[in-house]
Amino acid sequence: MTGCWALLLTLAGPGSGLLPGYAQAESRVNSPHPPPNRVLLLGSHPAPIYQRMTERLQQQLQQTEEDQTYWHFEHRWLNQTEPSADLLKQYDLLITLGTEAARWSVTQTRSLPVLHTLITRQAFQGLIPPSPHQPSAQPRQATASGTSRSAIFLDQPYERQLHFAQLIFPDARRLGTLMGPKSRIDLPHLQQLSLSRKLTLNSATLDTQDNPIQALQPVISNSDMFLAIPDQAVFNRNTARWILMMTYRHGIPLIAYSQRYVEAGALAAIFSSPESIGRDTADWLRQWQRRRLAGSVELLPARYPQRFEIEINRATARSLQLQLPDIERLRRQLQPLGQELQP
Amino acid sequence: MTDHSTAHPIYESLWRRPVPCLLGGVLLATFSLNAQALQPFITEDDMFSSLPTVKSATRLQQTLQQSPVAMTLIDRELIRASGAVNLADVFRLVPGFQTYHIHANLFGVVSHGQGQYHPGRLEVMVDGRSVHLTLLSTVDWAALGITLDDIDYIEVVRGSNIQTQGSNAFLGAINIVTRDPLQDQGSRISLTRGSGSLKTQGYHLRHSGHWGPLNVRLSANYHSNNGTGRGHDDGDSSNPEMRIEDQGEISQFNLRTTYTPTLTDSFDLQLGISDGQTGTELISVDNDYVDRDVSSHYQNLTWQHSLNQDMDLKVQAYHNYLRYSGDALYPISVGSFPTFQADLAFDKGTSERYDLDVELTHSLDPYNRFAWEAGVRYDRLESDSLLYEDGSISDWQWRLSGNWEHRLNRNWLLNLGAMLEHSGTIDHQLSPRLALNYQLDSQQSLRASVTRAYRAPSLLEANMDVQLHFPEDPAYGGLSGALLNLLHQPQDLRPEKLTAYEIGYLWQAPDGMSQFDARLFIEDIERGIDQAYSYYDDLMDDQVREYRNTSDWRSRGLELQWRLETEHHHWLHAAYAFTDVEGEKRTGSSSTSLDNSTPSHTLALLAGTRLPWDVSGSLGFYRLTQTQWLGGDKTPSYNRVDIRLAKSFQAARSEAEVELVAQNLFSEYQEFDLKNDFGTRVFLRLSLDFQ
Repeated sequence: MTGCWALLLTLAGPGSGLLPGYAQAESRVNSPHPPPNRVLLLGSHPAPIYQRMTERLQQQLQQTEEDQTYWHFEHRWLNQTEPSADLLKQYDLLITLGTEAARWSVTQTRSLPVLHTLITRQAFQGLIPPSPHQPSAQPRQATASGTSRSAIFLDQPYERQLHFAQLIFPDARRLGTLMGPKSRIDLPHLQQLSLSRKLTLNSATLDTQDNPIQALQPVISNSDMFLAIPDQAVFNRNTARWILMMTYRHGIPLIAYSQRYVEAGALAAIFSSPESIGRDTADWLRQWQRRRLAGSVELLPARYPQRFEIEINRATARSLQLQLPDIERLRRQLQPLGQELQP
Repeated sequence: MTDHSTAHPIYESLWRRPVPCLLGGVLLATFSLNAQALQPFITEDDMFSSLPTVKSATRLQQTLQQSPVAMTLIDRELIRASGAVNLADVFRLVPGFQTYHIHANLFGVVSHGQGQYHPGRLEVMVDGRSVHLTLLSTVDWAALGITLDDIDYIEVVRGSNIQTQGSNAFLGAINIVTRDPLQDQGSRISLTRGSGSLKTQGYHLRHSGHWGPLNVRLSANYHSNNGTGRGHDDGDSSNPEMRIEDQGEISQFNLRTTYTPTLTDSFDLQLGISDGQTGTELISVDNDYVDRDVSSHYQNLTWQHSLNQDMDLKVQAYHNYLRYSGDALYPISVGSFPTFQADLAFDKGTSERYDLDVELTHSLDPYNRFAWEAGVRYDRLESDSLLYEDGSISDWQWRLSGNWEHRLNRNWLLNLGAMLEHSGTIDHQLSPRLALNYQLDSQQSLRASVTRAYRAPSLLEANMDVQLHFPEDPAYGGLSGALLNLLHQPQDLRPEKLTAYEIGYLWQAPDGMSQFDARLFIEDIERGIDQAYSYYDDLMDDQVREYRNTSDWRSRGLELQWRLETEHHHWLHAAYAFTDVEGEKRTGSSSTSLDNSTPSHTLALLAGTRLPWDVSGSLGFYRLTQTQWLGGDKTPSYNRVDIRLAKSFQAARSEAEVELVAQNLFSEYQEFDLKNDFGTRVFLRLSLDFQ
């Protein structure tokens, strides 16, 4: 599958010297030109979300001839052939797609700079311990380990989720939520953020051996709005049914984290699609390129996605008798121009 | 990571093991998988994990664009807006389906016509529990034990779905999903009164709450009407007026409770009981009615367990019981012999079903998903009138089905499904289906499928034996103690066979406000089972009825469905079907055409709006063209207009609603039987919800 699928944006492989396109570009710009950036895109297997992300990344970096000259990409899937140490030496940057590839890179790469994508903030921080001089791993402070690793997270910052929830339903004063075995670690941070937004947080934590309905009942009956927090899939799938039913019964808006949740009946969701991550990755690469030209070897710090999607279930909005602002307006309010586009 | 090139050992074992090991095999294999290590972090797979959607088509959670069949979803709002008083009326909204009143309290629902007195080619389930009655090879819509208010939504599969739901889903399947106890809170009381000859009375009470860790929903109702009243034989007003005593009453109670001891386990227990009486026309004596008592109960337990993030197990066990009783003693006179009394109410007896079903759904990787099911069923019939010689009969059946959803690439999706069944009436029968879906863009998809399906003869069809017993008395001479065969089954029935092809198109607006669905289909049915006369050396007319593989027909047609909503609280549901049938039923040397046994055009338009002051209204238009009902009359085309107006009143912890429904606002029409006039029926319903 990889053979027909692999992206090859330049006209020759690594180590083949100057390329015809590069030579033309050099003569046109008439200035000393750096060699192309050799980037390896590494995923565990050719899953649709990885393909969607890398296709969008490719589109972004083919927009100008200059881009095409600077960027040379190759693909590898770990379930087919693992890159050897010798092979890795031929690249300037490794971009991992997903958690499995990130895990592989932790043990297999030493000196090669790595950008982790399609990874949650939690997985990144778990796989790559903070460096000694950056001990804090507060959720809002997306940090990189040293200078050799960076990340574009897949999940949304809690600030953005809370801001979004308040834009959807400004009357909310009491926010309900359910934390799972993996997300509960963020509870103090979420409480602090809620307080700063004048929201009272009603939360419950749930283990796999707990009764989900009994945990949810007091939370939902004492909340004006519910924020679904992603956890492991088994938690997400087994709580979604009860959360959807109970919030609907109580007539309170449910703000979620995925398109699927909205299709199943949640009022609204904010999330970053693989395409948005692809565009963010392209931005990251351009910035990284500028830094390299300026002589810096440090990577940009790990960060949350700058681009995101908003999905609204109009049928749910009607049943809750809510008039929602249109999506573009919400997007503008959430991301004032320029604010989050800087690393 | 998973190696895609080799088959998973579980699936190999499913196909290769003999059936008695199968249930155990599935359970053991799945339990051992429970110990799989979980990822220590939240991953991208968690963020994009699937959530519950439509399940009836393949048992997999699928969107409509992924489904291998055409589906209609009827939600609670649509049911309310339709003004339906009887559940069967709701299926007028499904393209290609026909609902008909055989009389005031007996209903038939069919897909693509061929409507009979006891239609049996649709599988009907309540929360996955088959409510098909083995006793009469049909569904008693008036005694399901649930009310319209108990329903959350209905999934209708248009087209054969034996591959998932078994033999009865020969031409389609209906799954009625009831309200979970968590979906309502507090209590509801409602009263219904109907005007006109029917004089409908309805009372309904419902309470939802929680008792310790259990969430419970209780529902009780009583429904009665005085029946059609008066009519004329063949609908001809020049014939003498006659009484149509098809009145009915039913009391029902059901309980549903949900218990979720852990995050990954949920138990759902459903209990129901109903008891009533219906005036039923005797099949053996035209235009004469007898009171038939019905009592039924059911128990249904479902356990759902998530084995891991990719694998779910569902085990469902249920028991259905239904009993019809009531005698119709008639004087029988043959020649100069003395008259004697005989019971001519044959449709009675006891029907029982026990069923155990194990379902395993598994996402192997982003490209492959599987649903496996293994089931065993025990059916028992007891009827002195329908099984004269034996009095009772029972049958063990088992089934094994699999559905494989394979994503070929971003645009193409393949669904391959098959059902293997075994019962006493057939040997092994394999029904496969292959479907391909093509995603044109984010809004449009195409679907093509080919299906081969077999419907096993029902236990009754294969064993029916109806006889008249002359008294043992010398006064009857040679007839003393003789048996008169009315229906005797020679036990050589073969399964009905279906070959179906379809092409479908689905468009969903990006904002979810509109959805359009078109389906072109061809269904070839061979060896259709129906009653026929055959020569028999008996004492009276030398002929006897029997079930035979007597009919072959081809249905071709088009179904269209359109849902539209606007931001201004207006909506429309439109369903249209054109069906062209060619076929015949052969009885001895003669044959009867089946060409008119399906209406050429079926149309349903239901539009609604929400007005100021908490008033809502809806208007329905239904049209069915001329139809020759099998075992019924040839009825002319009809147009029917229904209207509903409702006003609600809100208070702090309660809500009241007044609802006025008028069915068939204009001239009378007939369905199935020309003597049953469907006049204008007006209903007033008051309901109060309170905490």
